[in-house]
Amino acid sequence: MKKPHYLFSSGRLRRQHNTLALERATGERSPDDDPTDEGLPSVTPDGKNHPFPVETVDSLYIFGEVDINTKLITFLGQQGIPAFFYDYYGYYTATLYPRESQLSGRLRVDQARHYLSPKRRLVLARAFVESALFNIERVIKYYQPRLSGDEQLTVQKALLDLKRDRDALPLTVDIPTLMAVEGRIRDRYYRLWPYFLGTDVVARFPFNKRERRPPSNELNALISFGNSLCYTTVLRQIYRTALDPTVAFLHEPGDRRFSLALDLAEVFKPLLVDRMIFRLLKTAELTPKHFEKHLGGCYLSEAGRKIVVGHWDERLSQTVQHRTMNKRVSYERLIRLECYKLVRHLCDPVGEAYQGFHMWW
Amino acid sequence: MMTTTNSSKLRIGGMLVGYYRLCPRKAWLSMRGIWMEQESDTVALGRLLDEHSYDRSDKHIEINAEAPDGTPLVGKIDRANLKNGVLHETKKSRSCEDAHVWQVRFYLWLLTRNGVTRSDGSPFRGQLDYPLLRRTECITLEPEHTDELVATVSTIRALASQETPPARLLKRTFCTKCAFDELCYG
Repeated sequence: MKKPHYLFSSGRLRRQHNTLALERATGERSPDDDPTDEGLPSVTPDGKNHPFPVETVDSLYIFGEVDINTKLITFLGQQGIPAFFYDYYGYYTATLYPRESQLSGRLRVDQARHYLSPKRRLVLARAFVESALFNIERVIKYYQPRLSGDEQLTVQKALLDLKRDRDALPLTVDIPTLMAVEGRIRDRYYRLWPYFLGTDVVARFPFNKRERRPPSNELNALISFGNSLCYTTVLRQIYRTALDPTVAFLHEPGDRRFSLALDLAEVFKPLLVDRMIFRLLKTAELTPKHFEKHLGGCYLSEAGRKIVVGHWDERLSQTVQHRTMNKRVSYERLIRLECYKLVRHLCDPVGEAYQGFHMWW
Repeated sequence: MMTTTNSSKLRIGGMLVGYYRLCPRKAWLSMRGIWMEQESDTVALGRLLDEHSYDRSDKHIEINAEAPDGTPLVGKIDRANLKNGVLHETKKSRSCEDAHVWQVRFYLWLLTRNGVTRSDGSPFRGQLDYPLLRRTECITLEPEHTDELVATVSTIRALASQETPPARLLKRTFCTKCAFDELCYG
């Protein structure tokens, strides 16, 4: 069974015969934005190899300071293992994306054709926003009955607004309008979070609005980190299909990131990221001591990142009974199925139109 | 037209014929370059079985031929006993037997198209081997099979130029084991 591997240790990662080995290192990682940095490893290897079988590796998440060489890159490429890198502050920085093994010229042409035709592009972009909104609604509805008084009323009103926006989606005429609808809903949704989190959590983690680059407080740091995990998880799944990750429909293709992963991540964030955050904060698995302030921003500490990643990994392997396939599928597999739905749409947009994932539980 | 150039370049192989017999949709998707085999344990097991069985025979022989309508045909034969004139195809189980039988008949057809015969001038025979079941099945190519293969080649050509995939199978007995299951029904 292949699984993502998360490396928090620093050291040297290398190919050892036909498998992977990490030589751990002692010492602290230095910040990546230090202008005096010589680019040399800031930690000392301990000389002991810790091999781990390459057959079990689906992808690598590298949170520590790791030295790699061409031999490793070639080996990862042969094995089709993508590696995701995070910087000192826990920001996602890069993906080592192996050569595509799943090529389908015709599918790629179809994907580009759907992007180039404004009408076809809009159909897909709308479907992404529609299911993102539906899943947000599901999360809100889960918490609504637990509230009372004014809070209950505010949430009620937000739900009505959301429903109205969702119903009006078929009338949206262009991508910027869709993006605006999505942004507005997310804003409104984040404003409800203090109610969902409850007074205890809010006392520890004040939250009023979403801010990025840098995240202004703990919750924003958590959302940013969660979203980056979601993005890489989706990317991992896209890599196993013939889809081209750079050609997207809701987001503009190709600039800076694999935009198709951003499109699909919108659909899964409410289920995977938002619910994870509520859980981690409400159970007090994460406390303010898991965060650090640097350079005017707030970041998860290494211990905090470990908790989030551990929980994330567990969450991805949770299963639900699939409604039509008559078997249980994991949350992670749901993302793959979403990729396949997209493939079906690209092959036959009329007969097998894409219907975004709607949480059914 | 784009579709005609596409289908004229189409090379039809034994696996594609087998796929077509099982499920035209699967054949259409694989012609599009959409493969699902890389993650299927069943397929990986089949490949291992082929690699590790019958090490003393001539294995993995490639043959090319042309159909009467000019379609290029290719065959990758698992193994052959050239002295006795027998083509072998190794399979894990008999669950898709009809497709397997037609795959072997297709290879036999390639040989006759190339005028290859046994030393005494009689046509090659085919055999399906099930090493795990310790069984074999004899296959011959009759004239009516040849006619059907000719018809299959032209149907597959037409399928290749189809813009959208054929419908999913209604009877899902085979699908649950198929590597394409999640792609079709997920």
